[in-house]
Amino acid sequence: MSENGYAITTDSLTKRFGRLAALEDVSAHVPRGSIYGLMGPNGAGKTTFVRCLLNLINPTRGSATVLGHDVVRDPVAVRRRVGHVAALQPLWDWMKVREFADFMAGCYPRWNPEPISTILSRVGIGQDAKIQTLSRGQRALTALAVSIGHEPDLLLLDEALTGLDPIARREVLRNIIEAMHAEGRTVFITGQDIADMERICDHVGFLVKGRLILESTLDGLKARVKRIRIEHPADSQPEVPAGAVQVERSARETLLTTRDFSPDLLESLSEPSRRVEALDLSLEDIFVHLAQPELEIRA
Amino acid sequence: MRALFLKEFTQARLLLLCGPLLGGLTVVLWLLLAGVALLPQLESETIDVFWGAVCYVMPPVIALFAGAGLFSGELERGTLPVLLALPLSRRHIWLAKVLAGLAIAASAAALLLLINAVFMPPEWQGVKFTLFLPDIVLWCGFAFAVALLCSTLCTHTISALLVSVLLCLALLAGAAYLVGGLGGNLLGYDPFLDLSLWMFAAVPALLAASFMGFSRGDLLQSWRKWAFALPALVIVLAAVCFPMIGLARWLTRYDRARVERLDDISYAQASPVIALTALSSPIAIQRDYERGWGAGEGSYRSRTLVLVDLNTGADILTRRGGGQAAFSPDGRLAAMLLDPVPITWGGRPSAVRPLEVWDLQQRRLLYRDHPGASYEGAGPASPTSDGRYLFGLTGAAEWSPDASWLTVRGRSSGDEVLLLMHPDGSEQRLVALLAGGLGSIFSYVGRSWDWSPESDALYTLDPNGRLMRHSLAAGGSQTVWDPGALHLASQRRTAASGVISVSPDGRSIAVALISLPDRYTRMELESGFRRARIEREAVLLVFVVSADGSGRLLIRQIPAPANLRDLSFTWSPDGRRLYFVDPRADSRTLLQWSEAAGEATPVPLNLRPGWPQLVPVPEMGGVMIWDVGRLWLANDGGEVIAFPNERVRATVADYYPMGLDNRGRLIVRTFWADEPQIIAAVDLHTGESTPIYP
Repeated sequence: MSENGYAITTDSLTKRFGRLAALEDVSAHVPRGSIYGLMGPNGAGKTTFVRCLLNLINPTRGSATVLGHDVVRDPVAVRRRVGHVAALQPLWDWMKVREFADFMAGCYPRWNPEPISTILSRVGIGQDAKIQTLSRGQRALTALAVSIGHEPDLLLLDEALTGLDPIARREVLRNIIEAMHAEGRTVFITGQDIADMERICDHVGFLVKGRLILESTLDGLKARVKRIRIEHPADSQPEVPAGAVQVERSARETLLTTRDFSPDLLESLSEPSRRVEALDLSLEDIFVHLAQPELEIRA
Repeated sequence: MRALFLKEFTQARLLLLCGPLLGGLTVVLWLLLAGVALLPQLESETIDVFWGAVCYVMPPVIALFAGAGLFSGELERGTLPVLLALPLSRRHIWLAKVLAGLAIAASAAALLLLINAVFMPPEWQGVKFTLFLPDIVLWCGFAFAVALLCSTLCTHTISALLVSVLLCLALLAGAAYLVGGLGGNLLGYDPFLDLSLWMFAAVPALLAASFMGFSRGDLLQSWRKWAFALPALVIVLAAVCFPMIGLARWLTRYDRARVERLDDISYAQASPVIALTALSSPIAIQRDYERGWGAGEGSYRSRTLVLVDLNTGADILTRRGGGQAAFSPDGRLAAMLLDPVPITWGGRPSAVRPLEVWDLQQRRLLYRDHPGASYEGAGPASPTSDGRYLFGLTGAAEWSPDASWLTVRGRSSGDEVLLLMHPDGSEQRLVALLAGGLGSIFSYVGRSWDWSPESDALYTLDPNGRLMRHSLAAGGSQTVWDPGALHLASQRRTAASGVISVSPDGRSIAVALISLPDRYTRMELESGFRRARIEREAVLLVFVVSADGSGRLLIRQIPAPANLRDLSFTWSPDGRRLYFVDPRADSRTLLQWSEAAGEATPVPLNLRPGWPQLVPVPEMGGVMIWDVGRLWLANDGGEVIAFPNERVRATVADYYPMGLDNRGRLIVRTFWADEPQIIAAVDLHTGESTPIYP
């Protein structure tokens, strides 16, 4: 895919806070028009990654390009085309919802208030309500609704669905994320709600301890990461193949998770005395297995 | 950016109310104070302190509040990422916030001052308020910039506010020490304005530091903001602020073309140099100016002490600020007692007058006393115009005839003393002149010391009224004459307040003493009623005493009120006649004494109200007498005649004579302050005038 085909590309992006490396050589590629989910455990560096993309913080090393603009050299052009909502985003409490929307409208060259009104009315948030009277979830919804007012080409949601009730979450997924996707715009989501991710994302990346350990389409990931069950005689334990990330052994059965599944691997494990089968994994299982730092062998 | 400006302004709108609220509070306090204390009886000092505090403190406090929450407030609320994710550069965000903060601070302060201006006393509504307004603006700008930097570097508004207050106080103290302690005055006119300018000069550095900290400091939570803010502070201080101070000094430099008024012109007989204080760049013209009494000193931006060579008309030396210069008789040296510089001594605001001695030929500084260095432990003398206590030297310097010694009057432990030293500051001695306290009753003290013509001795009146001879070479002192032994009248004793003058031949000394009742010392401490009685009973006695103490002659007795003026003792060039003025305020009698007459007799001159000036004219062997536009000559025969040269008389009718220069010319200056300021030399024989200044 050409450079223009990506909404976000990073090249060895590194951010250090003193000795702590929050991001380490992250080279990510987010295709245009995709819904990309960046997953990782707490402290993996997801928020730092998003902040680097908006140039809220300066990367220590490496580069990042968003919608064709270098984030360090041309941050204003990036922010003009990007919507951003962070987890439990604090807002100016003294403002009314309408004032907040008007303030944001004044900061962007173009503004479309219709989708905002639609979303806010659907979730029952009055525009004359003061922000300080809104609940945490309502504030998040307000921020989400206002973030698409300037019709961004890329929406960065940094754990922005946290705190939303299931109804509101569905509303956001349907009316914001899926609507944007339908219009060919890109959505980049970070978070830990893997069920949602699995439902909406078509691309995923796994960030662990500041390193991007895997990036793939969701289907490709599911095709590559599988669990293999091998039934074998007690005296014929199979060898662990390269690419295995987790192995569970019992006397007559071995379960192993591999990130490099292929029919050849199945064939190489097959023997007349063994019965070998490949099992599909859910995204959550894949996440849990891949997030383990080392090969884990459990007896 | 406009949206952000409006948002910031709306967010801080409550601060706008501070102006009217504080203004109203001030007015209520003022009305209470004025009502309780009955306004007409309120001391002007109290009024100045009250309104000074209101004008100097409240607007900067508002500015502090407006600046302290600009960035730290966003950080505290957690809204900074939202702000920074807007499609605005950090420069624009910083600018919008700063402009909004400034607008709020300026509006609130303006409202406060407007409300106060209505209720201010009349003397504050006019000139004082106008003069202080630049100071207030500078202080507000400084306070805002400090608060802005603290807001960038602190994570909470309250901590930003507290640190701002502490930083403001620390920088204020530093600037005060710079101006007062180290003499770093910028304009030399008003220490407060200098102080304000020093502080305001730091504003670009504070703003630059805030900008760099904000624009490069990520989310203002890491060390990065410090790493960019502090170097910016130092670099801009060095590259912008100090050059700005240089520029300010250059813009307000002494420039003859811009001199608006001449003030404090000092001149010594036969000196080739004249000293004057030039006032430039009027800020505000006081009402006195319109009435023809001369503009107030406080209305000029620049005040410079200038030494002018009378022969060439060129400036020899300029010193910022005013002062009094005294020239050695040969014109080679100048001793300059500069205007008071504020210092803090013993925890309270004080002032000292630095003394400088210059070699005018080599343009070399021979001596400069460090403010306060020589007079630690000295008691305060008179308060200065801004209410500080003046320490150390108080009176103009005077030279011995051969210019090897220098005297300056001063105060030490409350007593009037004379500092005696060589021009390079060596062999300093203190000679007691007058016990403390008398000056408060008798406003005039006069010159109670004089030199022998050979400069080998200094004659003084000591605190007991004794005429003392201090041998300069040997270092000893001896009593020439003790008036206490006179027993002039029962229950009386002669006291220390007096004047002496040594004749040009050194044989005779004119001595004027105030004679007081015995109970004087005790009664001085009592009520004003008793004091008034003392004043009625005091008598001024004028003697001529032989320099060797062998004879003394009482030549005049004058009832002595408290407000004695100068007797203007003037000897004829041959030392045989003495001329002096009846010092009572309501008298203008000129008195003449000669050896032959024995007693001083009035000269039949109908002197006008105004102070007669007496100047010996060696070339003519007499004494020139001037009285507001009229000129006489007391010739060597003791006869007082109209000055022989008509052109000279005509010049003196319009100009103020100051003395003779080393070529025997009469130096005159413009009489009225609102006329073009001119100094000229008049030839006494031809009457021809030569302009000297400008």
